[in-house]
Amino acid sequence: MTRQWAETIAVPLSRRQWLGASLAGAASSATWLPALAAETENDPQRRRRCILLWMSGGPSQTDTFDLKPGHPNGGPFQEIDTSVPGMRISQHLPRLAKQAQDLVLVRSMSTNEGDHGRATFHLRTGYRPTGPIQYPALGSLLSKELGRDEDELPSFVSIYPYRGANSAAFGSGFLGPIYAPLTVGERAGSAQQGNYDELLKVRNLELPGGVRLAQAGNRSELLSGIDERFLADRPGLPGQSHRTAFHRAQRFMQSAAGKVFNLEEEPAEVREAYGLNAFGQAACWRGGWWSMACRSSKSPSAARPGTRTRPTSTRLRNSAACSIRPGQR
Amino acid sequence: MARGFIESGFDARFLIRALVSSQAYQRSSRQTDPGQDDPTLFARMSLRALSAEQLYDALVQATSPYGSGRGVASTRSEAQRAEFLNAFQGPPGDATQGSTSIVQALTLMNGSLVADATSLERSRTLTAVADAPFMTTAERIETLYLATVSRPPTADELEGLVKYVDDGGAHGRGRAALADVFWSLLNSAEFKINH
Repeated sequence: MTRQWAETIAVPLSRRQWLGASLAGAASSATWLPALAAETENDPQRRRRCILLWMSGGPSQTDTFDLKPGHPNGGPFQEIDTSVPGMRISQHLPRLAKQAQDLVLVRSMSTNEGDHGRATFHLRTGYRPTGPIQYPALGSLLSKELGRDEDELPSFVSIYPYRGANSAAFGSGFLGPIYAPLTVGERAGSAQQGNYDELLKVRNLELPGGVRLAQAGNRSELLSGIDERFLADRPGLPGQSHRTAFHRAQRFMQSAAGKVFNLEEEPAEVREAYGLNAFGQAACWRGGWWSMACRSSKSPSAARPGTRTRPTSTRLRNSAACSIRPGQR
Repeated sequence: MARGFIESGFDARFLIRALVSSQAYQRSSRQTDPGQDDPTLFARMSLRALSAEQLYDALVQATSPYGSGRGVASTRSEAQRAEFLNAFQGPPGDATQGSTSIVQALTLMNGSLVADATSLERSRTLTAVADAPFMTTAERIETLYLATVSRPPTADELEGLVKYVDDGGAHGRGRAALADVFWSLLNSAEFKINH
């Protein structure tokens, strides 16, 4: 049984940090969303984003990207040439081989960890599990260092996580809950045929039944009034953080992203291209989130309305990256 | 105090009594002078975030008048509690540095626990307060304040809220407007921060 998950970290990254963050992924995501990427590149105010596909239980490197031909540890398959001279990958990835100019393969990394739980922690936090210190996952770290308070969308989103190997490797550790990921679809793996829509929803994002929009507006005004009076002469982090979180949550609810994005609205062929299983649908959700995040960012070139068709068509191309997932073997 | 503790025969009750009756312990969290900024001087109490367990129990206590914290807990409430604790469990450490996440805010604003507590169909506290025929609007609001933040509203607060409830809020219905007041109190910093 293989489990994989995806997380999106919407923070500005330097190239170097980006490479560091994608080390843990099996493949570079540089082939993704080329049109959006080109558009973003020309924007001086651009935000960089990082997608990590965490393929727990994925296929071995000796079957995919590092075949070690002629070596006792080598795999049973043949190497093929790619579009990059000298970079050779598995015979079973012919379409990916044509896109190799956009890939970065890291074959030099090794660790001393032989246990799944410990290795998961090591790769996801950058530290080996030692003593009582709970190190934060990469996404939490990046959202602390690079996220902005005024962001409408949470800067760290974790989709369909499987924390079984080592749950500590998936949290914000000592950074605290404010940098914890927004987790979506935790139970997507238990989906019966077709109800991914329900399971891949942000929880508690909608107003509870019976509460209308105008009433919610009144409530938040009442709340602001009560909090202002109380916090006026009580400075301190818990109070500040309370207000920031509520304001951000309200903006999140009101933003186009909160209202518009819905897996059900994706065209059927897009969803099929991702694969009608929990991982594929999670990746599809992530694709939608990505385009949502691009549109809701303040950048005028990316926020242009009516560009829905473009992210959709480029997301179709993502299926190239998704097709390496072990679930299809 | 060390001497007193030794003389009491290392009586923990003596120690706790002495600590809680000290002036340093009884400081208000209100800042009246910028000189109180340094927390090491104990010139004012620092705000402290409630732990996940404290917050959940406080919510249950404020919203279920018949003490559902006792007796055999239903499976549903156990699951609800576990889920709540999962979202609110902070890292161990200094509660004065406690922070709120967006997920936590969403859970309190829209989650089932507070939604049920502020529903005119399902909340026992709220319907009891809203339907009691012998209460004036001001008394209803005061009861909600006492149930949540354990103090009566100030005259200023009361005036504004009575007007809001009597005008009926968004729906022109006083009972729904009372639910809005209850919701705001349960989501307020005053409710969820130890002060």
